[in-house]
Amino acid sequence: MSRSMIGRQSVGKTSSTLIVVPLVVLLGITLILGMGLGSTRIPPMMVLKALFDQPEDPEMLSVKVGAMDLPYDQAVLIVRAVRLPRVLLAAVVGSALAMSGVAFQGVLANPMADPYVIGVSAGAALGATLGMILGFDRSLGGFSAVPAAAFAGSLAAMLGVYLIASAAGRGKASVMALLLAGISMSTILSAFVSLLMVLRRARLEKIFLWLMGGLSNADWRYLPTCAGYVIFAGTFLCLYSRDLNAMAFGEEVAGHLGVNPERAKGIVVFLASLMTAASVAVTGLIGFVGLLVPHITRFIVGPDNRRVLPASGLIGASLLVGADTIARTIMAPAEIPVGIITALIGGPFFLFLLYREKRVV
Amino acid sequence: MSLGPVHGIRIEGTGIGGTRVDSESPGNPGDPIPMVKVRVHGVTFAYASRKVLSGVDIEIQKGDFLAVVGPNGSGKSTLLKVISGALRPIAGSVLVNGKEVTRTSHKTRAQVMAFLGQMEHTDFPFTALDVVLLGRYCHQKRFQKETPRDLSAARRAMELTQSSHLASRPIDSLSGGERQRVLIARALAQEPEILLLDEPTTFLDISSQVGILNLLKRLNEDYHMTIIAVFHDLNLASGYARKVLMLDAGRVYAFGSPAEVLTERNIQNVYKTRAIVQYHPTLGLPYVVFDPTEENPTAPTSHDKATGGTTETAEDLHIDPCGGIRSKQYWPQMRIHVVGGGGTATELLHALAAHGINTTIGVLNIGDSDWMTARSLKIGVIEAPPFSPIGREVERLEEVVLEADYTVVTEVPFGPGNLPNLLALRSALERSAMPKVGLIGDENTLSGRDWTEGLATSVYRDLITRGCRLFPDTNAALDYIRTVGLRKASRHCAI
Repeated sequence: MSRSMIGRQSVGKTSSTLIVVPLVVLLGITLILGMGLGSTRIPPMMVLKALFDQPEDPEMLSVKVGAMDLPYDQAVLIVRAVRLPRVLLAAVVGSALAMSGVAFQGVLANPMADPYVIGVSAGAALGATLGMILGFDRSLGGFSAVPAAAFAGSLAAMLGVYLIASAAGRGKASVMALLLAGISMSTILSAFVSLLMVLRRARLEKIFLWLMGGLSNADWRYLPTCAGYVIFAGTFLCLYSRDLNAMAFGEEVAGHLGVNPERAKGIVVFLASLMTAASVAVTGLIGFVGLLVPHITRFIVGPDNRRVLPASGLIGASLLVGADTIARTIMAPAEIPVGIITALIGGPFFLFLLYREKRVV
Repeated sequence: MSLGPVHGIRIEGTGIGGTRVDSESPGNPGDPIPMVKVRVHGVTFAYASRKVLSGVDIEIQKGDFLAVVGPNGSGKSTLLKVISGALRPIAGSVLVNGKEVTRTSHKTRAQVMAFLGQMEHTDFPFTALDVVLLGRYCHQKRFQKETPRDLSAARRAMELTQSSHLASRPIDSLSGGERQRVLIARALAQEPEILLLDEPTTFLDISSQVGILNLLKRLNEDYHMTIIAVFHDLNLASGYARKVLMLDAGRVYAFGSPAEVLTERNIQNVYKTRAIVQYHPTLGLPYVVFDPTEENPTAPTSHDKATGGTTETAEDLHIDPCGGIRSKQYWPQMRIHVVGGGGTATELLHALAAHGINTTIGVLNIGDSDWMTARSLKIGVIEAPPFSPIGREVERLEEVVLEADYTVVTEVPFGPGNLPNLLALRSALERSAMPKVGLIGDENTLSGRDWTEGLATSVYRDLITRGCRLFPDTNAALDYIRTVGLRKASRHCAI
């Protein structure tokens, strides 16, 4: 009996590829669909062709779009210059928020935590708002202007929360102190954002749209920077997935199991915040991905963070690419902020999870 | 699910409780093999300004099973956490295998000590096997997957704790006993030398408690695991631990064998509760009973109450120590003597003591179970040396019987050793005008309890013919004793 149980676990390697492969395929399909759909529809095969073929004789081909023909070079332009960076950014940001959500939920041993729980979002919002009002044009950490201000704001907020929580716990930032300090910091910073919005009504709409989050400004400029942060932090986070498993039982238990809870907490919070900050700096505040995707992922692969972290990265990427595609097409040619779509998908789904949870109990 | 051979748990030389080569012989061949596992040296600890431990000094040997007892807030759990290295003392140090525990890494500590806390909870649906495999964290590298060694250690730990069948169940779906087994399996998967447990059986029913404790005992005896456990229940501590540490307000009050530490005086001083400590007749271990009629620890004992005369409480009912509920009646003052032995008088003595009656017993050999009962109830005993025939002590018995208002003989077997008791009773009867002696027994013979080849039976018959009453059981004897007392009281009033 026990042998077969553990035997099944030991073949876990094959079963994790069984999980990863479909998710990669799913992401690929979403990406291609995302590049094809929009105000101008491009069939999937043409998307692939536009992506990988060098157009030798552009005059030869044209894409039939409704009644009119879209010249092939124009399709290449749309796919390569407009939609490819957008879907890639959506994928990067989606996976960052999802993995960051997993990290925060694990390290805080709280399934209700999300990437914004310790004030990263509010810091980014205040930074971005100040940037927009003051016309900030410095560059910082690979970003410039408003994204740079948002990036700086979110890291400053994270650092502030961590220092306050550490001071409260005499050098040890307890989970509870982190949560409370994070909530307080978010409230204070959001109050400043509201104040600035009231004081500078001329910028109100711009600030408001930024706060709702979206990928409409996506281009090639910040994609490598953002992806760099996310890949770096995501890889390191995966190395701490076993620590996260232990931390899910509380930091005291984790400590007895051999985890250094203070160090693990510091590293995980920093990495998760870093990738969140790099994401929200470019896209603004996109809600619910970081809260929801970890739960969807656990539903599929179980609670082991060694699987949840990479899988949630793939699912988060697919989800945000899909949500952004809907945001672009549902009222085309107009575009609605993707945050609305994620909230409309995420909210009801979360209520469903809550309902299911209650029935189990 | 057999336990398997002892070496079954050993894995590449580092078995559970086995000598760990890397931590115990650090290359100083001149050093003696350290037998002291844990040395707690002058440890003082405080949460904020509240001092919880002050100057705790103990040594725990390899292979010990130490129970830490003490009232709530005496620092038991804190001491355990300080030993584990989770809490850093403000003064003093904890050495484990000669190394200061706060200077070793979490990982190194986890390889030597496994800790099982009181309540453990997670909101994530990990399976029992996931949980047990977490015990391998301290042996794994960051980049590594589970090795076959990790899996076999987990499997053995689950077999040992008989939790293998739970492997795929989510941990939050398990019962308290099952969950505790899985958590102990996780601790064993760490392959530690020391197990630290904080009240491992508190929330469990009796069979789960015994199951877990027997498992710990087996780990201690068969695998030489050093165990340090906080116990709430003094009898469990006495039954399972080899040593007991009693803490009082953060200080060591007593430290030694269960018999040395779990004494009535220690318990009364530390727990502020009157306890009766007896020796279990078959296990030879001290066991502790708390007097349920005792309301106030500073109140006088039942003896003092009786002499007060008017200390009747308003309660109509009380639970008597014999287990039954009996209406609380008025019992007049009187002197009762009991001839018993071998535990036959236990019920009677408790009842008499509960009613505050001035009771004596004897002649008894020192160490007899009735002797111990009498001692714990502070009843006067005419005693003879242990395991020797009763001799001149019967002279005192005769006097006492003559002075007593009534004497009861319990259903004690008679042999050459205690036959003098019966003979003394007969000569007392010969000297007194009234037969004030009663015999508990359902027949007027000593059927099956005569080991004197009929000698005792003939004396017994003689007693009955001289007017001794026969009571079918203890309650009947008690009822008659009460009427004797009431008659005596009314006679006093008449005069």
